[in-house]
Amino acid sequence: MSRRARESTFVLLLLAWGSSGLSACGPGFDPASFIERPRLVGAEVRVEGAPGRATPLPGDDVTLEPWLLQPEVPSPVRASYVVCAATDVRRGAAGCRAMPLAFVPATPPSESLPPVAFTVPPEAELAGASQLLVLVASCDRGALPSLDASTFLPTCDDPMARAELTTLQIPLAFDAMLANHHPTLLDEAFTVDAGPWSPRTESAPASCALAEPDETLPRIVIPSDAAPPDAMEPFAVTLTFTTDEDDRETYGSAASPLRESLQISHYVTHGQMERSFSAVDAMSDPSMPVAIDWIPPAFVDVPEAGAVVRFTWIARDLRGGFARADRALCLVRGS
Amino acid sequence: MRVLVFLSCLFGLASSIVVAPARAQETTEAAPVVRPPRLLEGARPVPPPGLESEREEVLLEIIVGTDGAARDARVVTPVGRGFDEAALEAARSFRFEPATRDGTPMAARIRYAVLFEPPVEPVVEPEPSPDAEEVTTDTDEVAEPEPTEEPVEAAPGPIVDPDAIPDDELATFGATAVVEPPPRDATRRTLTSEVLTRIPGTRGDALRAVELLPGVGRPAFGGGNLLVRGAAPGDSEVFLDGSPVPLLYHFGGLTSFYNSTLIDRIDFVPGNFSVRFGRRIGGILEVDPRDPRRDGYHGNVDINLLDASFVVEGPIGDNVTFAVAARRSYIDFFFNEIVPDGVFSVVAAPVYYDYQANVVWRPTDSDRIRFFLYGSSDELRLVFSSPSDNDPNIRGNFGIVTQFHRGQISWRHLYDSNVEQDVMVSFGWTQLAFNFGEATRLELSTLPVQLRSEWRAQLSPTVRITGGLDWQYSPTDITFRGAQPTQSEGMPNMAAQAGSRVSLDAQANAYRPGLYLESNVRVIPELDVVAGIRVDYFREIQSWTADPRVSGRLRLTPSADDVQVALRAGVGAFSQPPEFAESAQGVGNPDLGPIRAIHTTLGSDLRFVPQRLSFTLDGFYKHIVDRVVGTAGGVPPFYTNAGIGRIYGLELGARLEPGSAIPVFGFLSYTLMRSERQDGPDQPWRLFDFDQTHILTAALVWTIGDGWEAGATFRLVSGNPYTPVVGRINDLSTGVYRPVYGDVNSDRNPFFHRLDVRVQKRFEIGDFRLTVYIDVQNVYNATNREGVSYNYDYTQSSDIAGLPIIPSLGVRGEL
Repeated sequence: MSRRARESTFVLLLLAWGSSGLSACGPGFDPASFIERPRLVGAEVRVEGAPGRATPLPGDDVTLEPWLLQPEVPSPVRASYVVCAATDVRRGAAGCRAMPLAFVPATPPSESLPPVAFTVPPEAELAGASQLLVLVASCDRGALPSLDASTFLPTCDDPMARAELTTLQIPLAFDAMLANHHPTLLDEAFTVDAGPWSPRTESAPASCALAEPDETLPRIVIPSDAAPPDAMEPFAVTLTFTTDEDDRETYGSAASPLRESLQISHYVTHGQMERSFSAVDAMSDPSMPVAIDWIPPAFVDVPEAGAVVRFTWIARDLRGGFARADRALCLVRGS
Repeated sequence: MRVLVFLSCLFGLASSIVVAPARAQETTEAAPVVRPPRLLEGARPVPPPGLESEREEVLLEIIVGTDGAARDARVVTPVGRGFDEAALEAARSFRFEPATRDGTPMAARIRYAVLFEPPVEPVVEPEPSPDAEEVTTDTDEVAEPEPTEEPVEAAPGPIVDPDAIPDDELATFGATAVVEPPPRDATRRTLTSEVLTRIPGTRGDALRAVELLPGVGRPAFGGGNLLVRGAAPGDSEVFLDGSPVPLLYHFGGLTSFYNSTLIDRIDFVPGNFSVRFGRRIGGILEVDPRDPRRDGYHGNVDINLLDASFVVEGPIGDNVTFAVAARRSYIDFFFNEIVPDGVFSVVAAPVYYDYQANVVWRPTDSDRIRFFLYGSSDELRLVFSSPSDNDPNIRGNFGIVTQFHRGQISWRHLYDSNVEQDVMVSFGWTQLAFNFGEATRLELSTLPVQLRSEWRAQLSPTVRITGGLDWQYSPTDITFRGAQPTQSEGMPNMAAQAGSRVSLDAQANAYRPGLYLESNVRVIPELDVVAGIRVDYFREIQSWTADPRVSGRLRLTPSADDVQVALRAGVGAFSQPPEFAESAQGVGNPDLGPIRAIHTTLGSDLRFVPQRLSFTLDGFYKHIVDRVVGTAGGVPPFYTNAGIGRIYGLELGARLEPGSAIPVFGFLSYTLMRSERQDGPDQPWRLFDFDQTHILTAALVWTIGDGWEAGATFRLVSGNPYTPVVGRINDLSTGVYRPVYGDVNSDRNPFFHRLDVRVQKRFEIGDFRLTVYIDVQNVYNATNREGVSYNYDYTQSSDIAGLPIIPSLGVRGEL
């Protein structure tokens, strides 16, 4: 049993012990951090005329940019969008309370998804809604998605394609002074294996042979005797990045203010991350960067020519704010 | 409720000699006089071979039929080495003058201590008076004390020779005659101390033994939920000497909070319980602690892999006895060694302890006052180093602290032969604190006070009336931060919306007075009918309830017969307030009404008295209305009384009591049941979360001899229903996938099966007894599916297996 499986099992037993209930975790599954298929992992709301604001006001023109990650071998994706005023729920999935504000029947097949633009209606037309709901039905392999009228689950016209329903709730602000803003990861310092790690201005090359190693594409050598990923102590490379205290806004009433927590998701196209999430919250030491181990594939699974590995981090403030950072490196075999 | 009566001193209580006759004269004309059985003849107890020179005392409980024959005998305090069997063998030959009520013979239960003593002829000696008084407490009828000068008629031969008993013992010892009253419940199942700690698979935990009985479901993961006749765990309640127990098990199911060796009996009422109990629509479990021993100082120490405990007990003067017990776990000593590196750091490793102190004072023959102090504490604190892969909200500080402490005083007083009273006051503190990082925090602190008082009066030979007060007041402080609470059962726990946290800071005073009145009428000699009504008020929802209940028992055979057959029936109304979170302003609906249920039961008993073998068959139907159900999406008013439920089934039980002709005792239980719920008028019927169609339990314990005992328990139970996942939603707002569920509880886990084995060996070293035991749960390591786990996007799944083989080794020393 791998270390991850042991950890999951232990947590499960702990929860079962305390609650005699069932918990959703288990051994042997692909981790959420591994990008093995096209996956929508976030979306950025851009309010026209208010850069950085995550919560639109009634009447605002909004552009929504979905963030789609592709695996090593990309697959074309098609998607249908619905944007509507959301029903208020505290548990479970929200629904639409009125006619859609925007509807995109199906985007053309592409390795990325196009942005969607819409206008938030005036407050009087929102019927009391405090947030918008974006529904995205998507299919990989270039298949055409559609929503089943009875189950509201998506289907694809290609049975080999994977259908997925994605939702995003966009909180609305009714006072610009109280609006939430996106955090940012673009200006943070990243390191890989203790060395600096800079973003690339252009896309990562398809092959390590097509680019020289530098700070934007550092080279990581995996030794032939490296412990495999399923070992108790697998070969791992430590990645770090800083966060800015200013990204965690204060909200709530003046009498009892609350501070945002940042939830950071880690994604990688080869190997796996030590964990799928990190958190920056009241328990975090602001002087210390977030550190996480990347566990590369086993030596035998690394191509002779090396592999370009792409990393993505998505930060959420859980109030509608998103941030994204991308890095890449070359993984090559050692002697 | 339980039994009745007493009393008289076969050989007499010195202190009562003067008083007793006077009382008898005062009451004889006005009330029926119950006389206990008197021993006429019996065989001499023969010590086991090679042990003729040893002194031992075996306390027996004997049922004396109307013909004076010893119908049934069991060992109350076993001593082993063959003495128990020898005492039972002697008891089988006893002949009594039967107990009488106004001169009419009646069946009775008595306790006798059989004494093996080399210097004198073996004698049959009555039970010390403290136990006699103990059984007096729940009496239907009270037999007046017999003056000691009334001779015991010795049988021919040297069997019972009063002359062999010194005068001072004559003055010290009395005997108990307990006349079985008509039960106050339609179905009541009792486990006595004789078997409670000997059931395989329970690790000697008495409360676990309840799972052997018909109608009791199997909790998942070996948890401590009490699942009674298809009811939710919170629908049933456990009482310790009349006071509700807030937390039965350490850490939800590890081991119960009360020392098993201090329990006299456990009564389980799966439904149609007496009006004495209310505020619950499921079942009742009554734990009856035993009085401390007064025949010298005794103690025991139990050491096993999880914890260690001790008991010390004995007399303080003539009228006072005490018992002190405590237990502490030592998981915390090695917990750091077993946790995976890097997952979390341990702030406070899991530790639990409990304690009990019991002082019984008998100032007069008519009074018993019990002072009781007990409590329990569990604590665990961890710091998770990173968020869980499955739920990023699971991170940071994890802590769970549960504790309760109780002081309890109960007074039992006998006004005269026809009127008696129980008064109990309990008070204490309960704390529950749970937090999971910033996602969830719950702190609850309550200072419950309970007053129980019951008066019983025998109005005529055929009519008995009981009235009682059951008053509760629980001022509670509660702090909650987290996602909106949801319906506790049925509806899958849908993930909370990002940012939709609720806050609750409340002070609530649960004030719940209750009154009840019950009559027990012997309509004809073969038929007893118990009818009662209970009225409750729930201040938190400002609601009154009135619950009428009636039950009856028809004896189809004379009580003197070796084969006894009886029919039982009951119907009644039951009410229960919503859970606190369901009716609290802010997260719940204070306008909720109480949950109501109708219980109906029809049962029969078949008993082969000489063989100590009995069978029961019960059919039941329960209908629940005004169930509390959550609103869709967890939006205001959060909960409504729109749900209903129905539960029906059959229960078959067979029991071979200890002390039969073969050195074996055992239980066989089978329950066929269906428990369904409807969550609203337009909703379909669905299975209840813990619906278990088939529940088969078989336990057999064999006293091999020479201190060896071995036993096994086998369990075969339908798997619990669960709600399958039929789809998934990628929720960008939270970064996790949400499951899309199919029909609620439309799938079911496979059958659960498990074999537990227990072997123990007892060594006798003078007065010291050392017992070494090994109790192995799931001896063949069956992999039972308790649930399904999913990967991050619900496209892969795997089984969650139940508990693997768990051996438990322990040593218990007794003095």
